Amino acid sequence: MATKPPTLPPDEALALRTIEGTYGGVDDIADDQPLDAAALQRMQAKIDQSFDTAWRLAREQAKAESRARAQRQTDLLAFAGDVLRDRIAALRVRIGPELQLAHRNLDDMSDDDLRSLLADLEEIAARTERTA
Amino acid sequence: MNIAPLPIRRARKAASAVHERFRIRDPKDIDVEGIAALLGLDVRHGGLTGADAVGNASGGIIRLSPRVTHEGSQRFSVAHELGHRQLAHRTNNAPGACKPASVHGHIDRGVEAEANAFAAELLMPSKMLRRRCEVSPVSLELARAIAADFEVSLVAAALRFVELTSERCAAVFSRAGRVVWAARSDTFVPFIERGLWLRRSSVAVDCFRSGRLHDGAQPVPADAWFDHDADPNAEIWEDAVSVPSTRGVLSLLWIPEKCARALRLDPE
Repeated sequence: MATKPPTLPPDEALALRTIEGTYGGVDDIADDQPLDAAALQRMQAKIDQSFDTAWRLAREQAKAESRARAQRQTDLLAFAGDVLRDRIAALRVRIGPELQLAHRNLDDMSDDDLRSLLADLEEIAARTERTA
Repeated sequence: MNIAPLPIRRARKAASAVHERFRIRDPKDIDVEGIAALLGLDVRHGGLTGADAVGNASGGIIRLSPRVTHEGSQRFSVAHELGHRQLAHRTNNAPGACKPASVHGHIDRGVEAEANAFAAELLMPSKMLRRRCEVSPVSLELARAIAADFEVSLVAAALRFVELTSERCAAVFSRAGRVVWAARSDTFVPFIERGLWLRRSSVAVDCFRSGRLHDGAQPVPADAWFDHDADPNAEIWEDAVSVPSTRGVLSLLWIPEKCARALRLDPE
């Protein structure tokens, strides 16, 4: 009787479920039949292929979710200049010191750049609060 | 052979770790936006003059300038910002967004060079490319093929080729008749200085004068590119192409074995 695998990290578990869905799980293995070298090689190739497919799907799914988030843009056209700077400063405090932010010279930035930055920070703040 | 500085090697190793983690084994799997998303970074377009990332441990956003229109350059920009993130560069001290010139050109040191090394290894892994770079004769043809297969710009592909090949090669980018930067392979001994005025016998000058696009590699006098006190008739090879989007010219120089002997470039 084949033993159950140990607890896996979520991404490895996803790959394993994909493999089991395609080729069957541990209970489907007849472990009283010895496998020859060629069969083992074929099995390894199938496992590799399944892992590759699972990761490819994971990348595509993550990208699709990322693009869907991009559609949910807030409307910041009503704001300009110092109002944008004040809101950015407030968000920086709200997100906390671990925020990585390249823009330092907010005074040199155009309103469009400030709006983009503010939209990004609003989203990061929301994510931070969801995961807190 | 020169060994790259430790921070550059560390950057390349970090990119290889991403390949391992996400099981990337084929050029078509280098979906940089998907990789970024798995690492918690969303890619957005517009609203900046360069490329930039903001974020924290919960995730972040990479924002690309609308000025970066070439798909290969966009991929490189995303990979460059991923590099800053994966290498834990402290961006709080940075003056602003990464400038296109530092992302898409050649720089030797500092965090921008490390992010570029990460991006080059992520998008054009040495394990997929090194053997392919062992070619002779050398021309821009292979760089074009790399650019197409790995979906990067021709300049990025030429720089990567020079990094990986054992041939004596240099990629030189010039603008307004002067050298902007030059990247040499480990075996290319002569030094090509930034700011050097192009000499009349170089193919690059011809590209500027005639606006000619591409004619394949051709022999040029070695002193078209560097001073030497060996055989005055010694020739090297130059393949040059105009890069209209940057108003510049990219030259790939190659010193074949026979020329290297004539130029006495190798130690006795």
